[in-house]
Amino acid sequence: MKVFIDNKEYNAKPDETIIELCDKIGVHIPRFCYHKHLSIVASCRMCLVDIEGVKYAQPACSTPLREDMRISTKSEKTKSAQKNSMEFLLINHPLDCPICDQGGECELQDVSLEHGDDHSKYMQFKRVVVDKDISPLISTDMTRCIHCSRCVRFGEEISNVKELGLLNRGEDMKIDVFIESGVTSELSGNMIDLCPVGALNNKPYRYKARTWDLKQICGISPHDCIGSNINYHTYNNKIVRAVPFENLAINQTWISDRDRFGYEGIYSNDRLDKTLIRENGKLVELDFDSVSSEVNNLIISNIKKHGRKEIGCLISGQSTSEELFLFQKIFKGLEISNIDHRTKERDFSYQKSFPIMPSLGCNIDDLHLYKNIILIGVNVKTEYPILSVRLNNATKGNSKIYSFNFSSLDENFPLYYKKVIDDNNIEPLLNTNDLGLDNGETLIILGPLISRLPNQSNILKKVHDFSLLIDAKVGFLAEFCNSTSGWLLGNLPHRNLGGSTSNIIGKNSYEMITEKLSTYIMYNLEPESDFFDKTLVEVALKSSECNIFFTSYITPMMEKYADIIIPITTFAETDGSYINIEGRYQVFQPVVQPSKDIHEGWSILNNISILNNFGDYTIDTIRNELEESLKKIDFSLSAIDIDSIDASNMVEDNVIDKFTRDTYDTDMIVRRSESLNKVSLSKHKPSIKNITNEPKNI
Amino acid sequence: MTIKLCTETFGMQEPDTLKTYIDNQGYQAWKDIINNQTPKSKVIEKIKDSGLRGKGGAGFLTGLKWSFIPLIDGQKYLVCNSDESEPGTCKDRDILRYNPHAIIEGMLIASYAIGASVGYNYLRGEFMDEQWKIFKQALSDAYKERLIGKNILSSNVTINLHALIGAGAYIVGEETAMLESIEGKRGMPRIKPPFPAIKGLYGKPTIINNTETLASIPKIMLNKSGWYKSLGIDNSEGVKMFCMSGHINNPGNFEVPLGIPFSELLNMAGGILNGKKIKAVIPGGSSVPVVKGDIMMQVNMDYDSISEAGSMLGSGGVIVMDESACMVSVLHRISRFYYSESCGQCTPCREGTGWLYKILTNIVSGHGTQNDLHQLERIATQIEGHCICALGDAAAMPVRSFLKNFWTEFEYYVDKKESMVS
Amino acid sequence: MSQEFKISKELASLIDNVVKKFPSNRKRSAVIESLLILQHDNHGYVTKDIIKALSNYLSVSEIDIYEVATFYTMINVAPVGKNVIAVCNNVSCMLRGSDEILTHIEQKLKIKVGESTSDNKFYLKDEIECLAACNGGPMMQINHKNYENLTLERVDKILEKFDDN
Ligand SMILES: Cc1cc2nc3c(=O)[nH]c(=O)nc-3n(C[C@H](O)[C@H](O)[C@H](O)COP(=O)(O)O)c2cc1C
Ligand code: SF4
Ligand code: FES
Repeated sequence: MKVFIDNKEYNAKPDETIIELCDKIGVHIPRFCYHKHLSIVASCRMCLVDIEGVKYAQPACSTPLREDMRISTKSEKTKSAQKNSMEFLLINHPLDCPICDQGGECELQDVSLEHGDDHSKYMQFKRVVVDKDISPLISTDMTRCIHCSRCVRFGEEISNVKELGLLNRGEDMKIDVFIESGVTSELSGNMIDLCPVGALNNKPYRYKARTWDLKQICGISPHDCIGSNINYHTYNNKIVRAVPFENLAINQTWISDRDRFGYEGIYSNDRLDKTLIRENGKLVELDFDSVSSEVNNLIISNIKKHGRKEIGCLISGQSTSEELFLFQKIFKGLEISNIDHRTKERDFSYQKSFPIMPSLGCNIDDLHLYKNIILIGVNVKTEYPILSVRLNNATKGNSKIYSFNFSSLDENFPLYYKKVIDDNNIEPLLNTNDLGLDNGETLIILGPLISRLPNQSNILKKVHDFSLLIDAKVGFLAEFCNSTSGWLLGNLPHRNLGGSTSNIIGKNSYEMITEKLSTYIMYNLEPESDFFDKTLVEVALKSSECNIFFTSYITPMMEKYADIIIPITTFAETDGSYINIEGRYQVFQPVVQPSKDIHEGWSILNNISILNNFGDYTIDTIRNELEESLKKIDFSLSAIDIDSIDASNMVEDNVIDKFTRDTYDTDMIVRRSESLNKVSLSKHKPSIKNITNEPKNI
Repeated sequence: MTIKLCTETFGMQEPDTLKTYIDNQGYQAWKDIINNQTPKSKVIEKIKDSGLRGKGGAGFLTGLKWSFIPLIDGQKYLVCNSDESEPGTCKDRDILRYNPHAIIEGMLIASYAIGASVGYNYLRGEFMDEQWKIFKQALSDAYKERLIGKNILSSNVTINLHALIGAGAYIVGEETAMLESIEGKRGMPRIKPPFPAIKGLYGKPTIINNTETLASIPKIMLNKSGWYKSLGIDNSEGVKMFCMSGHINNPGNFEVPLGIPFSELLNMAGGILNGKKIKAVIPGGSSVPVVKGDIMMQVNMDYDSISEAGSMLGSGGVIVMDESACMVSVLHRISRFYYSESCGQCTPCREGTGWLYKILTNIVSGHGTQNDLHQLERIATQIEGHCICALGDAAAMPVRSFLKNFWTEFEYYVDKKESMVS
Repeated sequence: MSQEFKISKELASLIDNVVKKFPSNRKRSAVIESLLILQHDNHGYVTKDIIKALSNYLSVSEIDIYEVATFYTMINVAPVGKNVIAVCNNVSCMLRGSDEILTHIEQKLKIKVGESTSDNKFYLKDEIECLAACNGGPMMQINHKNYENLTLERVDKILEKFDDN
């Protein structure tokens, strides 16, 4: 279809709106209510453009292009229509830009400079709106609101939890909540970005800096395996704010509140900034220059003293791929086979027949292509908020979503079927007749809660059999942001870098802890919270002879039992990379510099590697080797294929205290975010109903 | 000269009962259609031929509107717009209470013609005490006679009609806002296209017609082709109810052929109160431009003539003002209405109506300036044509026409700080 | 202060009748009429607890109902006097002297529009809409009942009638 924009010819797709085409070809049209991921309301009237042969200027956001349409985005008619809308909008907008956090990045400010008049003819009183406390994360200045309704539509259409509404009408219209502190959605922070003016603001960021003083660096979410892209804003070498970085394949233009405010955890009071070594029962500071040799000596001397089988090496799946690479490089090089990153699990009978890595089984962008999506042991709303956006979208198409959990949990997208199951008896859930599956492709997604069960192997086997029966794919969601790398890069007792089988099968994390070894090396792990059982970990650490911690935070158990504690960088202070649950490899740079005695984790590991003649790496040579090894992987093996399970290895224990994974307890950093902790405290059960199709079974 | 179509039962004993209606050939048209299984297209064709124009305000050809309904199977809806709230308009209220069965029969025929199995009559909330009760009673009587419901008169045709009630919002009279309201939401007009005939209530094809429009249908169907047309004039076929209010001796509803002289209508309404001089007329509800009295006396009551006089026939709410009326105060009152009734979504309407009202408030309280008058003019122009629905225009048109026709009176007010007429 | 509000059996059956008018998956459509029903039963206004109860009953989110309750002027979200007086003062009625009627009532009841009398007997609604009785102006509604062709004396008589109950 041929159309003309400012006298230049373009080819438009059927149903394409004027604004869509203009955005594509880079012709700027001002807008407030329009957002490409929200429904069109065409109410702000900022995008009015002059269409040849049409009496009044028309909204570009809602007007579809027609053959031979001629649009002038710069004519007098366009300009005056836009100027008029601007004038109306400013009538009731306070002119408090100097004290507004949005100043400098305000769409209203930008547009009014460009399209507004230099002075207003409005002489009457301005509307004033009383503010309410709506959330610990969002501050409001509702007098600034221009009623674009983006925040309301976000709740209706994207997060699918409508918490903000448009009350009253006409000039009295205002955005408000039903109850004080009523905004509890795990995606609420996106409304801050959506708000084109300073009505909804980032509360923790309030008055921290002026936008023009900020530096911006892109990072990857360290809090879940989705791999959302995040822009960090820094001021004086400190992160003051995080906003989404658009990646249409992953997070689109959204991020979860966890990704937005999680960074606060890096400024926690228990951040460790000196190496500490135990001398005469007391922890004392150690000069950085002697750290690597000191650690290495401890390791080597303990190997000599007790043998390799007495050393247990544990690393977190939140570590970067570079750290995970060097960690196994060193310890496998030292012929230690007790290596594991699966610290939340306790039943490993499944491991031999497990895929090369846990994988979602499809691209995030393709989820909507599945007719049936069966969720088992996962609460997407709280655990993977960004994914809930995709699932919600899938339900608007042809997908039906089924949910099986150990307790009754709400999702923020419509469930076709919902059932509470018993972890000891999941047979009833796998009854196809009952489900009413649609013809078409089916995807089963298992959450990390399953992996934490003492009988996970058994469940995996049953799910595997079931998947064959209904011809479904099985996908996984992982515990940490980089659990995938934990698997791929061989931080496992039974597999090496690239997934090849080890000659000697070492102890898994459960065995390491319960069999009380003489030496523990814990990398980036919090003994109190990152294991399947805190008390067993304490028993192990207490009885061992030597405990070495690489960590960003010092915890009470470390203080009590460590022989040496080496401070390492967090995700924000290091070069690194994560592999997300689709298998997407994403690298990132340091956002800020760590304090002087904290060093990048990989470089400390590299020093130990050098001491043992395993090589001297740079970040680039690590990545080269890592990528080289990934190339050899046969990813077709990534389908789950469990023939039989070695039942003799199964753990008998029923100490499952809870069947939920708290949103803001997923990792060390999030746990320390002050703002997110406030949310956890203020959270009351939202009583909002989201399930449009009444679930058949509860 | 009055013609009794929608007003047929008005003034009779127990006008709202089924018996009275049936005694006056009521439901005959519907029974004919049901018994003969008249093809839908024939019904639509007859309405098209009649030239019937919608009585809700825009005067859109009813038959043409019906023909926009897609012919494919599937759920469709009919909505009767009894939200009547355009200031100066009070005709639907009387049809509802004096001739409810005509609406029901009209709704049945319309539903049948467009293939809708469900129809809703949406009454404004303020009709709760009287009209709603009467209409519900009429519905239940018609159900009892099996004129509505499942398997109507053993014909296999199923049409269910329901009465709905609003809760106070002028904007819900706008057809897409009404659909939102029926869906249980704020009454905010939708963007068109898609038009309701394609995507209406619950996303299904829907026809919305005014109460008077639908109440006219039975008689049109009952009579021979050409009958309705012959009552009016070219391009203004048939009849229209005019609600005469304001400075007249005998306010009321008059159902007359389109094209009769305004002066005749005024006579029917008893002429100007106390024999005073006519000053101005708003001929089609408060949102249409005001016309000077002497000009109006020369105009005929049809779409084209009124449009030539610079106004619109609109909903037929004729507001007559004599020389004692202060045009500044009247405009102030009108703009207060649109300011308070703006749904608030479109920027020009939300902010502009308030601005207009505040300036006018300034003026009537004696603080206005000459410049304010120019501002009013400018703001009205900025609103016009730039909103989703016509409420923005409805707020702008009176302002522009009052200023244009009575500029000196406004000037007098800002200069002397008092009304020219008091 | 807020005791949890329960929708009584009688009210529930009224609401059920409203729900029945709409397709089975369109319960939200019943919100407006249900609010009127609940308000009628609660001295003319709805509380947040009532909205909450309706939200549960219809499976519609609270904020969606709250939006509706604040959009439509006949639904009150704050207490009002027992008898609601609405004097139409739109153009047609204004031309027939509605302003005088309104002023008279304001003086008589010693309240301004938008207020309730101290004994809570009357609430004088700020009626900006035209009440569609233009040919009977000046007019007013008391509890949605029309009183047309008003004179000051008639108004006095009408208000007196409310003295007994
Ligand atoms: C702001 C506004 C208010 C309206 N109010 C009414 C009304 O109260 N009653 C009515 O029948 N039509 C009203 N309309 C017109 C309707 O949108 C619609 O055109 C009409 O109901 C169609 O019926 P008809 O074709 O039978 O006239 C209004 C339109 C607008 C823009
Ligand atoms: S013109 Fe006014 S009433 Fe109509 S949709 Fe826009 S804001 Fe609402
Ligand atoms: S962006 Fe088009 S009207 Fe708001």
